[in-house]
Amino acid sequence: MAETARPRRRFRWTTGLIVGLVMMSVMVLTAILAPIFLSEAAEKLTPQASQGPSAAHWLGTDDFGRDVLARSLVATRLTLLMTAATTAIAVVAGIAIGTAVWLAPRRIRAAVLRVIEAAVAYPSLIFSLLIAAILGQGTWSAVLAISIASIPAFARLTANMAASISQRNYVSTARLLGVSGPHIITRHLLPNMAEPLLVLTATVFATTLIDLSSLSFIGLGVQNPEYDFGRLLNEGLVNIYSQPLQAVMPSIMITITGLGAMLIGDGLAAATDPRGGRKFGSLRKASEVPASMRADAQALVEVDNLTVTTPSGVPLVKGVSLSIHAGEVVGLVGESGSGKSLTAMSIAGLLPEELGVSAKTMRLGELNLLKKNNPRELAISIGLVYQDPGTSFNPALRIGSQLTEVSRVHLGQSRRTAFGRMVKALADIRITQPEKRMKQHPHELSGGMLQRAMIASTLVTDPRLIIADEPTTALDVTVQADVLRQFRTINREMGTAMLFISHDIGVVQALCDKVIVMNGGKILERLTGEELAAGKVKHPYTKALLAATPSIAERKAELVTVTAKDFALDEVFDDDPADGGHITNSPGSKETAQ
Amino acid sequence: MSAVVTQNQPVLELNDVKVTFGSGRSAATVLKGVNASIHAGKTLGIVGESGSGKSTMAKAIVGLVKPSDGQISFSGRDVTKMSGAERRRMRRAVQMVPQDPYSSLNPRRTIGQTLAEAIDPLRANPKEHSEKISYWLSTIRLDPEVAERYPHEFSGGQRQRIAIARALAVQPKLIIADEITSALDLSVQAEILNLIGRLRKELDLTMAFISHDLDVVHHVSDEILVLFHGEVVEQGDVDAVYGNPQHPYTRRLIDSVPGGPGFDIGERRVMAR
Repeated sequence: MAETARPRRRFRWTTGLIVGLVMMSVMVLTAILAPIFLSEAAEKLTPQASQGPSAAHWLGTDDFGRDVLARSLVATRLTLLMTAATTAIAVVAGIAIGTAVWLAPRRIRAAVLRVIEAAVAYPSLIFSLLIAAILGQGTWSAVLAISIASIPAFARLTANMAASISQRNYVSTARLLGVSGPHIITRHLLPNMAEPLLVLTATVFATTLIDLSSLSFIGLGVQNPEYDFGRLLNEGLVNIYSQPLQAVMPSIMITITGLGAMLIGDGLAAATDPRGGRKFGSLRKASEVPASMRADAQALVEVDNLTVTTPSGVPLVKGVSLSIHAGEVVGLVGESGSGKSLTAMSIAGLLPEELGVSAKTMRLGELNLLKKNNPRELAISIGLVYQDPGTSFNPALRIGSQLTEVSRVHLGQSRRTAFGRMVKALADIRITQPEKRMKQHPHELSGGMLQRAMIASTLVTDPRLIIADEPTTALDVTVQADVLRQFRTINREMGTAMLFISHDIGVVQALCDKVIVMNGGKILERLTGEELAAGKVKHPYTKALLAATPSIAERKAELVTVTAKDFALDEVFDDDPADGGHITNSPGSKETAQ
Repeated sequence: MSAVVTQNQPVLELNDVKVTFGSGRSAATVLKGVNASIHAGKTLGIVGESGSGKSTMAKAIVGLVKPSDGQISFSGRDVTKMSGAERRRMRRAVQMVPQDPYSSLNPRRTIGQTLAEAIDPLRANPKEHSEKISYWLSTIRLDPEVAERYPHEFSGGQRQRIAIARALAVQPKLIIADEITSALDLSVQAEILNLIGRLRKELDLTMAFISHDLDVVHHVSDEILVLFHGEVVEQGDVDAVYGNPQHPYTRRLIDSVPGGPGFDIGERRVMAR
């Protein structure tokens, strides 16, 4: 498969891989050199039988006066050869069977897979004992027995992975391109299952070593006068009390070889992935953000100079200040990576622990959001609506128990009270048959209905603020319009303040009173929903975004692409010239950017 | 057997196509007799909400799903009646650009290898096809040098452009774009839509553009087809359909687009201050 040189792919050396390679090369060197230099000491019978450790024989001698250390070292060659052969047979046959199964017609595939699964379930050592018993004793029958016993695991892994990878788009696209089955296997399937196969190969190498040694140990494998680690253990067992060292050395050798194989497998798996070793791009340092631009002490929510940084100190949100007044719907709009969700989630106190959050002020009413707050207080003050209604519900529990959780746990309501209130809340947002819905499981409801139910459940605690993170992104347009209508009604009738996060300018301009445009962790522009709808925007980035959006309202010949320089500018201010020292060129024209 | 290709013959024609999954009592009819046609050089926008059958329609056209009834013809030749070998030869005539730019490129193959496979599926050697690879990369405004790189080194928008180049490199009669911008950010979406617009002019592409986003479909299509529960409820010129929808569902769909003329989610709250 090495068709081209791959200059951009760097091999990644991990400590584990290096240690594993060192251990394995020591073993391989031993396997090559020991029989050349130590055969004499290992195999010649001498009168000094069953001696303890001495200067001449470091680990003593066996019953026939042969040097224990030399025998252990010489045995490495046969052991490694047998293990390598066994592993090779198992890997090649396993992969061949596994991919052949994938190519086979559906019925044959299903039948063969069942057989393979049954074989995997059967302990491989017992299976190989059976085969060894049939083939008779001896080195090569042991190799054959254990490789046959290891094939099913490989075949099953290959077949399962082939099935999962063939679901990916690039495989179906390759079929459309007219690529043949065998080519799909070699180009698309095998390279993408290399890691698990390598890890399994290493594991099989290690277990094979132990299985082969076990067979020799119980006398079914290698026979006199040949010897491997297992055979040495077998001989050492007789004298285990008088000469324990005879059994120690082969055991150590088995351990080192097995460990080395495992470390190499893991290391190779990590190294073969071209996606690995990614480094974070060096981000430019955030410019100095003027303290307190728009934090308002009168507001319901006040966030002053919020920064969020990764553990390595990369700033993700760079000094964001905003306020939300009671009854106001504030929209945070921006593309992915703009920091809009991070900003909202730091207000909700839901950021992962490892992210560093700091701000001059961050409060909701008199609740200081910078402290660790009572979860009960947070849960009832802030209502949260997430993006995907399909995944924010637990599929195993009934809707009712999930929707009433906050009221039961945090408001201490009885099951019955909570249920009754929830039914009423569902009816209020026009969900049909609310009582029946409460007893259903999430998969029985449509996405739009789940999202409306989620919104209803946030309302029962009468929260002061609803934070909605892309609540309509996963919904169909007609359902989206319904849900937006719901948000509007709640805001109009109950006066609940909302922080609404979305990437969709159309949605934000329709729903929100105020809109904050974010990019790269900074606020670029603040304006009202009406201004945005009318195209009265000032910041070049916002203008570019509007010009980049196709619309059914007008047919644009060419969409304007947002360029890097549009992002680079700082916030544009409209009302406070004293603050505007660092505004970069903001063209005076107020017409819509087309 | 020789098909007469006239000037007015559509590139693709669907005639009463039905697709049913499962059998017996659990059978679900996903397409309930769809008629559609696309003429050379035109783009047909296919809109519909989840469950409307638009993806199934794409798969049926491409041949990944077998229709239970009806005919699908390319340049007047019925694919459903073709032998296996003929159909395999026809396969390359229709290419698909999938939705997700992250799973549509094999992470273990360089861009050059991916494109070489589209040019020549048998011997996908990028060295033999370097000229064509450079040509298609420049068509999508990428540097020919990127052929040496792997997909993970590219942004979502760049990957989507590469997926488009892969479809173009086959030089198919018809390209099916299945929600190709829905996984992308706004600014990237603009980049892809502009590219599609340019390619339509330069290469005279014939295309089926499937999307749930009515703004996007409006932007790229000549004609539009509205699917609802497996049935075509409206079909016609884009401006005519958007300007004066005939079916109540089309009307509802268009009125649900935020920022559109008919969009209404109720009165704003009267601010106290």
